Formats: sequence, structure tokens, C-alpha cells
Amino acid sequence: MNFRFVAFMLSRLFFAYSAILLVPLFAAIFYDNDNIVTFAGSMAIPMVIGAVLQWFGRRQRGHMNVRDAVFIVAVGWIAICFLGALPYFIGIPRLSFVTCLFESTSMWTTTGASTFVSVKTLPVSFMVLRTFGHWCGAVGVIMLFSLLIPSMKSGSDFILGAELPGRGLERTMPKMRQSVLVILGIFLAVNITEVVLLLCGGMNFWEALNMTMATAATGGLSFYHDGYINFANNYIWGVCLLFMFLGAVNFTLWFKLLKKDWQGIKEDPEHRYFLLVVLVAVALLAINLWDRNYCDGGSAVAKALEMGLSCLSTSGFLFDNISNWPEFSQLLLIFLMLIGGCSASAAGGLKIIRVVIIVKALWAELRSILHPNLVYTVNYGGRVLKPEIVQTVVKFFFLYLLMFTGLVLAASLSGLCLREAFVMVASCMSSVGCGIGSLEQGYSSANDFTRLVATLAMLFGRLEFTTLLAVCHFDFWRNN
Amino acid sequence: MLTDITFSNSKSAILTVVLGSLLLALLVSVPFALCGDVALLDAFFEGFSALTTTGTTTSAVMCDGLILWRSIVQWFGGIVFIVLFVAVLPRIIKSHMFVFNQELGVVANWRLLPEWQDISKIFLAMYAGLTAIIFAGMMLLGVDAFGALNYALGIAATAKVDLYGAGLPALTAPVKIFMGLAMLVAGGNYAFYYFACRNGFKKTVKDCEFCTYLSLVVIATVLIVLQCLYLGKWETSWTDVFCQCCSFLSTTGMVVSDSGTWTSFGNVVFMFLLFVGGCAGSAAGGLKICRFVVLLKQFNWDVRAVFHPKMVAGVDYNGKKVNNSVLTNITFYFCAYVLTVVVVALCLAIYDFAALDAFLNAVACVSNSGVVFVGGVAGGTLTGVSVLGKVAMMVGMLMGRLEIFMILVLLLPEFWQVSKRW
Repeated sequence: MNFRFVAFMLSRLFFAYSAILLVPLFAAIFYDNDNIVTFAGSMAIPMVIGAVLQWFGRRQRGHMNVRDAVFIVAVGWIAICFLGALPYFIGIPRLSFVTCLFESTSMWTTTGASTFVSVKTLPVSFMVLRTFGHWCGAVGVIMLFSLLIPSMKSGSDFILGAELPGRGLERTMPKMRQSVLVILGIFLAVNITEVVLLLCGGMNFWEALNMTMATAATGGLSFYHDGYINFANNYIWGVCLLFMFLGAVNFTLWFKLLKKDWQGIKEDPEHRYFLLVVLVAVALLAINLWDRNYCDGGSAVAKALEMGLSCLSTSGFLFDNISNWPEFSQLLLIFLMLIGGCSASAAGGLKIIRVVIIVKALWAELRSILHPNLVYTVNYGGRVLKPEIVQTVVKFFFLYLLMFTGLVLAASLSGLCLREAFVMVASCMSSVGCGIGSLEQGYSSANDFTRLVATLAMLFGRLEFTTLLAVCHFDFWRNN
Repeated sequence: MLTDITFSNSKSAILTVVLGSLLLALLVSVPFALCGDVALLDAFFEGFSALTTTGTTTSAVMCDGLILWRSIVQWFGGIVFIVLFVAVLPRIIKSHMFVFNQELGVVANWRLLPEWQDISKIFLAMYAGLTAIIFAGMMLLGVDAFGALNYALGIAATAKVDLYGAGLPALTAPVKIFMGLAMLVAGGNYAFYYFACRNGFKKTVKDCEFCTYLSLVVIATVLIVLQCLYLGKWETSWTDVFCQCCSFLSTTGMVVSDSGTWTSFGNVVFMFLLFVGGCAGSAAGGLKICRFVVLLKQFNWDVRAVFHPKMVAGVDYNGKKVNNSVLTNITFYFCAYVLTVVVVALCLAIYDFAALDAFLNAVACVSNSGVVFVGGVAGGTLTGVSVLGKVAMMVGMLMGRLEIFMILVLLLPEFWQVSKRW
């Protein structure tokens, strides 16, 4: 491994992280002076570490292999989560370190679960930190999954194809920088549109900004985090739902729209499948809610739409007391959480594209049982998928469920009942964040062990397991 | 009968197997319909669950004759499906060829066993012998003759036996250990036993599947016991835990002690064991250990592929490289299994069970174990299940028993197209 290069890259990451903390620092300077020290201190530590790493990596040669990239992603992500715990640890008294870590991980992974009983009691600077932090986390995730991870084998690589310039490590860094800018630009444009639309609906600016960052980042850390979300009017409700949906759509779609690449849009059917999944899920939920006399027809559709989108886009807003929902709906919501949004978006979960490929490939496999001598291919968006890619996707499904089982096992040791443990792991793994039962109103009543398991689930789920598991693998550290 | 079928035409074979199972289930459920005063669907459900060696029952009270009949049906179902698994399925589905052939491949060639009738005879003899040994053992340990007979028939078929309502009665610890061991043996691969007897145990002992099977039981037992010790639940004895783990891994599904005994950790472990299931070539259901082993090995390669992108994976099993198409088939089998569980769980959640129970019960049905989860805890009774729930459970059992693909293939439109002859 090229340690100097790794150190160099990590130092950049730490500097960028300190830069992000400037925003809550300014908020602290203007609104609550108590926390200036908190944020200055939490900025100084990564700066120092970054400087040391910078010094160590000063003579790096710009050459990186896959192993370095995997290491940077895994270590960088974990380090950011740990560093993110610092402001909480310094600024808010009587928080255990696990709690701080939980808060920080929940923020950076855009999960949006919280241990605070009421978010509104937090100082202004922390509100800013949380909102801005999980928005930055979303940007980071989108970058990661559209640029870096695809060049490692994890099954989400093929669909981005050649649309974005500079994908993959073999390409040059300047091109990568270009696509970073493109993605960032698109993401900003989407966000600004939402802010404007919300302002038109009569929200004040800060609320609109907060709501935008919570929906477009599919994180769900909003001012309204305590209690159920209620919107002032139907217009705002509609805008928020729409952008929750858009936030979970593949971001290369926007890129193609920008380039007017209609052919490319036609070839990438993920958003259509996503729409299909949303419609089917909402229909099932609404019918069940209505059939079990939970509410009347109209509000059943509205509730189904809210919660279905909230779980599928992995935002995790709670609109209603889902612990009291009919059982079928609860189970379906868990499955929706596990499915998640589209690839190359801030949404977590298994991703629609994988589900579609698994179902299609299964169908092809069935046909090959009937006709063993024929070779069946899997078509996706008018392209024939290579068998290796199909294999990678299908195997990922096993990995996902294996990790799910492992995490549920760990969670069940924490004293939660089985239902809560299942929902917690599903929700944290796919960065949804809402819970059920005792965890419905956040993790304020959960013990430290529960919070630790949730943190692990968020971390592993966000990086789609493979990256972190690879670093943990024995062979990773052996010289070849 | 089946020898006449040319297996190049897999459609007719599949249809024969599926319709045959349904018809058999219909036949064996006649006594349930005639004797007890139950609805026709309930009677069919009883017969169906007995034949698929599941053993889920809707009626708490049953006369002795019916109980015995159910055990006999379970025993019969066990041997029918073992033979089916060994003789018919491998010729239809690629991974079964592996699942069974690979086992034999360790020590012998498939050709050494000439005809499936011969295999069936050998297996029938072993199956009957096992039943007799269990019966004798339980008699010696002081169980009454009726109970011993029913347990012996049920355990050999890895089917749940409900003699006295829910769970096993206050059996003594030695009986429980004996039952646990019996279940463990019944869930093992018969081909493995055959070759162990013929070629000596030493040569066979390194078999990957059997080792994993045993170690899963040991690991699960140790974990649960450790947790009980940690929580200070001294009253939970390790014999109960052991018997329970054997019962779930072999998908027998008998619940050893009161439902309050197990923690949620224990129940997740049980769910996992049920899901994985017993060895191939036995009456046990579930994903089957050998598939699980292959999936785990593949998992290991996948993680390494992250930092060695150009590496070519080569999963080996018992020292032999596994064919690529078999690997594909096993992965797809896993997907199909999970999807089946998901669909059955959703159906069960509509009217009958709480969300989590629906999922756990779906796992229990598809793995043909017959245990019922209520409130997230193993060992409830099935009462007041709607028609939809019963049908969903039966479909789950049938799919689990016929290795999923056999039923899923029926969904293909091509299956029903009559091939043109010209």
C-alpha cells in the first residue's frame, strides 16, 4: 500500500472536514457564543491531524491502486464519524462517547436518527451542524457511489457506464474533478429549486433551508425531528414528498437531462422501476390501511404515500405512529426500507437496480431450468448484462442479508424486543432512521449498547458492507 | 413409474412431482376429514403439513388414532421426499446435481450406484433402521410406547410431533439429549452415512457439509448458553438449549421448553438455524447446509474481489472446484428462497400474525419445520388462522419441500405452452 499517498489523501479529507465545520462555527459566532470554543476545538483537531498527515505524505507520487482507494474510503469514513463526535462531546455535557458517536454517524450517513428527546432544545449552532452535516454527508455519499466505489467491484458499477467523465481509478484525476463539480452543481440546483418552491409556500427561509437539506439529502434530520411531521399546508407537503422522491432518484439522470441525452435516459430504466415500486407499495399500503379500518380511503392514500416514500427514499420522516399501523403495512415498510432508493443517490438500502436485476435474473434462471441447453441473458435498459455483473449483484444480496442477520443478532443482545431489533437494524442499515416501539421517538431511551449496534449498522450499511469488510479481511494486509 | 420418464423433458417430470404431491396430500388428509369434526380445508392443511414433514397443526386436541396417522404420514412423507430429492430432482435442477452428487463425489462416483431404485432401497433401509433405533432408545429411556412410536416416526422424518398440545412435555434430561442427537442424525445426509458405513468413518469425516452442520449446532448452543449465563438465567439447562438447537437446525421444529425461556437473541439464532436447515439428502428442509457453505465461501471471495478486482474466484467444496453454473444456481436458489419467504410473510401479515411473527412463521413454513412463533417467541399454537393464511402456509410448505424452483417454474408462461410437434 502506498502509505504516503493514503496519508496525503486523508489529509485532504480532514481539511475538507474542518472547512465544513466553519458553517456551524459562524452560526456559533452569530447566535450562541457558548459554543465557539466547541467548534473551534473540533476544527483544530482534524486540522492538526491533517497537517501531520500532509507532512508525512508530502513526497507522494500520484499513484493509487484499488487497495489504497478501499483503505481511504473505509478509514476516511470511520475517521469522519469519530471526529464528528467531537463537537457533541465537547459542547453538550453529560453525553457518553457512544452517544456522540451515534449522533455523528447518524448525521454523516444521512440516517437521521437521534438520541435527543427534543431537537429544539439544542443550541442553534448544533442545529446548523446537524442540518448542514447530513447534507454534506449526502453529497459525499453521492460522490462516493458515482465516482469511487464503482471502480471497486460491488455490483453497482456498470449502470453508470460512461456517462460521467473520469469514472474509475484508471482515468485521470482532473476528469474526476470535473464530474465532482457536475454532480455538486446538479445537487445544488435541485436544492435551490426546492428552497424556492418552499418559500413560495410560505415557509420562512431557515425552515425552508432545513427542510430542503433534510429531504434532498434523504436524511430526515429536520427541526421537526421530535414528534410527527406536520406541514403547514398541502402545497408544502407535496413539495417535500416530491423532493424526497427526487432525492432518491439516480443522480446521473439529472446529468443526462442536462446533456439532453434522451437515449441515455431511455437506456437507464431505474427511475421507472423506482416509480413502479413506489406506486405498488403505496397501493398495497393504502388498501391495507383502508381494509383494516385504520383510516378512511383518502387519508389512507395520503398516509401510505408519506410513509412509503419516507421509507423507500430512506429519509425516515415519521408522519404517523407506525407502531399502530396494521401488521401487513408494518412488514411492508420494513421491506421497503431494505429495498431503498436508486443507485448513485443519497438513499441507502439494497437499491432498486439490484432488486430489478435479481428478479430478472431469477426469471432467466427459471427459464434455463425448463430449457437447460439454451442460454438466457438478462436485459436491462436494452443492454445485455454480462453474467459476471449479474453474479456480483445477486451475490451482494446474500452478503446484505447475512450482515442483516448478524446485526439483528447483535441488536437482540441489547435488551430490545425482537420487533424493535429487526426494525432498528433494517432502518439503520439503509440509513432510514425511524424506529418502532420504544425507538419510535428516537433513541433517547435506548442504552449504549443499542446505540453502538445502530452505529455499526449505519456505518456498514452506508458503505454497502464490502468496503469495510474488505479492510477487515485478513488478505487485505498481506503483501502480494 | 418414474423410470419411464425421459428427463430431457423436464416439464412432465416437474408436473408429475407437483401434482403427485398434491394428490398424495389429498389422499392422506381423508382420515383427518372423516374422523375429526374439522372443516375440509383444515383437514387438508393437516394432511399437507404432515406429508411435507412440517407438522404444523391447527387443532390442539386430536384423538390418538389421528395422532398416529399423522406421524405415519410424516414418516411416509419423509422417505418420499428423500427419494425424490436423491433420484428425481438432481436430474432437473443443476444445483441438486451438485448438492447430491458432490457428496458422493468425495468417496465414490455417482456411477458406482447404478440405479435410483437401489439408492432408494438403501435409504429406505437406513431410514427404517433409524426409526427403529430412536423408538428403542426412547422406550429404554422410559417414554411410553405410544409417545415413543410417534416421536420416532416424527423425528426420523424431521417433522414436528405435537402429542400433548404445545411443545414437549416434561421429559427428563437424558431423553432430551437422546432426542436432540436423534434429530441431529435425522437431519444429516443419508449418502454421507452410507459412505461412512461402507468406506470407514475416517475417510468420510472431513466432509464439509457434515462438519458445518455439527459446528453450527455447537456454536448455536454455546452462544445461547453463554447468553443465559450472562443474564443469570440459571434455570435454563444446556440440555434444553442443545435439544432446541438440534430441533431447529434439522427443521424438526419441536419446542423443548416453555416459550418464556428463550430471549430474543435465542429466537434470532433459532430463526437463522431454521433458515439454514439440515443437510442435503435428508428429510430436513431449509436452504441446506451445503448451499450455505458454498454461499459463505463465495462471500469470502467477493470480499477479496474488492481489493483484487482482476482475481478469478474459484470456490472449492470438499477439495473440488465448484462448477460456475452450479454456483450461479445456488445463489439464485438463495434469492428465490428469500423472495418466497418475503411473499409468504406478507400474505401471513394481512390477517393473521403480527409483522415479525408473520416473517418468522414464513421462515418456519418454507423450511418445513412446523414451529409456530407467537410474539416473536418460538412455541405458540396455530389458532384462528384465516383461509388466506392457511393457503399461504401450505404454498410455503410445498415450495420449501419441492425446492422452490419446481414451483416457481410453473409460473413461467412457457411452461404451459404446448411444444409444437412437426
